[in-house]
Amino acid sequence: MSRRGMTLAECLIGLVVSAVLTAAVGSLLLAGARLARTASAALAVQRNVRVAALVLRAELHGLSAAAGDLLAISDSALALRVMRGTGFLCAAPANGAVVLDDSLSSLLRAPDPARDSVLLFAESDPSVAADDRWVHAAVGAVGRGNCASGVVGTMLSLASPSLAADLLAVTAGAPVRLFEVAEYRRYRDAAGDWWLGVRGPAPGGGWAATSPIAGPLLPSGGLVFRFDDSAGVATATPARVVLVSATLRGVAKKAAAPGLWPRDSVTARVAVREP
Amino acid sequence: MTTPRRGHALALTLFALVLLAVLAAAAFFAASQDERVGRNAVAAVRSRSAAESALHGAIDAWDAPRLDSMTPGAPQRLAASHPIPGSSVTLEVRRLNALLFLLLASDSGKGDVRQQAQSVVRLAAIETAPAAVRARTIDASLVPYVHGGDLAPAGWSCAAAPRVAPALDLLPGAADSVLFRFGPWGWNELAAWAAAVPPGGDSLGVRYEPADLVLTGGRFTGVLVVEGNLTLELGAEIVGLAAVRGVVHLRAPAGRIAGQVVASQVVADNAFTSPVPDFSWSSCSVLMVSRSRALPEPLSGLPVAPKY
Repeated sequence: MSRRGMTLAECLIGLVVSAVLTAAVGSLLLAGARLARTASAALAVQRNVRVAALVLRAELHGLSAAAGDLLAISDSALALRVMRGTGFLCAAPANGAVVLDDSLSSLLRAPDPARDSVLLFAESDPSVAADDRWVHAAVGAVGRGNCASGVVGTMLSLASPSLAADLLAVTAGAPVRLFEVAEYRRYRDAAGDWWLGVRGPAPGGGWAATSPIAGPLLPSGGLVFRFDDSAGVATATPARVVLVSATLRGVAKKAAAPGLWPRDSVTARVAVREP
Repeated sequence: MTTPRRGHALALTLFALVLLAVLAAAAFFAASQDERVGRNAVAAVRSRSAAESALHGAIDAWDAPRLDSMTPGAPQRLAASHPIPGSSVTLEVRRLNALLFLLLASDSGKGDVRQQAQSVVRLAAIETAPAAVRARTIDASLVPYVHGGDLAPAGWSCAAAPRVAPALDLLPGAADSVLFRFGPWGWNELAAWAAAVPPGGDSLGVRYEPADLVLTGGRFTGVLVVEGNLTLELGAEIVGLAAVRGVVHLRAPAGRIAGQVVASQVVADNAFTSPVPDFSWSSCSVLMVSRSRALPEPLSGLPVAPKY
């Protein structure tokens, strides 16, 4: 004999089992979603501080502390000459301008008169190494000029207080370092968050506004620079620095869960190499 | 007899399985991306190290006579010495001017990773204080034959501007550390360098003599380093730099030096009539001969840098 429908007890048991299963699956889903949110936030923080470390590492690479590339140092800020490339003169300087051999230039970007300067290697007396030096000049204009071989290269018109005298010691083939001055620093935005930012010189003197690079950082110890000399001792003298360490401690922009703020940290160490 | 039942267990199970599969796939994808990023970063670091290592190797294995014969402009390929296993480095050198060279190393690592590094080196030529003769004493009879006008030897062309110098740089009673000072080098460094330079290879030689030396006629062009005394006789001629720890003796018929003599004493063993001796300061010959076997040093203020 066939039976149709279910008894009340069966219905109740079915409902209870369904409720238990639904609750279990629901809590599993909620936990999974929270885990995903937390993991995503943690990854974002990690990516943030990693990118910041990569930026700092790239900007610090190729510095020469002895040549004065580190301009001012503290535990929360670093002002420096950021190298934008290297070139070589294909002719002796003339009329306050130099021409770079484009086939040998290694530039991150085109020279920008608004923010770039150059250091030119001055040989002076070729039989003496001690009188070699780097001549500093601002880039006044960028154009095209002729190399000694007749090939066209990048011409930089220069400006400095003693340019004519300085350029007498600069010969064809001399290396040229193109750089801009920048300051990497910890700063607080209008919302009260701490960031790693960068700023350049303002046209009228002082510093321009800071642009954010990575953040938010922990309010305390979010960005700490350390500068070591050759003995491994912390130094405040830029010319003695051989190792720059930057520790970044990031924190999530919002809580992944009540009271849960993912955070991560990374330390970038760059040896300031001197040949 | 079975009873057909209706419920949600299968659907819920399938849904849960799909959800778990999606989560697992996402986690796997993220992990594999991270692993790939890490692998690329390691490959880039290895490649950069290989390129920079090749630069240092090129400086260590500098072939001075061959590379000093290069003219500015065209590059030359160099063999990478002691390459890092697994690396594939190409190395080239280009002369920038009389003293500067550009070294460029490229490494093709695993995958698409390719790193380039460059370095500028400067030849560390022997540095001398300009003067035709630098000594503690010189015979008065020889003084009229010492000249400070800076002249290049006949047939030589030097890019450097002439440097007129005092004919004599006399340092009576000076210690060896003062008299035999060649820029950062003292006598021992100069002697060690000269002794280590292999003979031959070009027309500008470096000769190290651990005892006395007598040059009888003929012409020596290059750097002469003598631990004992040097005697020039039968018109022997030196073009370049003569560094003599002891005494330079001149015997008739007169000899000739175009460049510089650095010695403890310079004496005439007899009187001269004709031809007379000739000591002429030549910054060109001193620079050219000392540069020909000079070893390179990385340029101060320009560290090894990546090439963009």
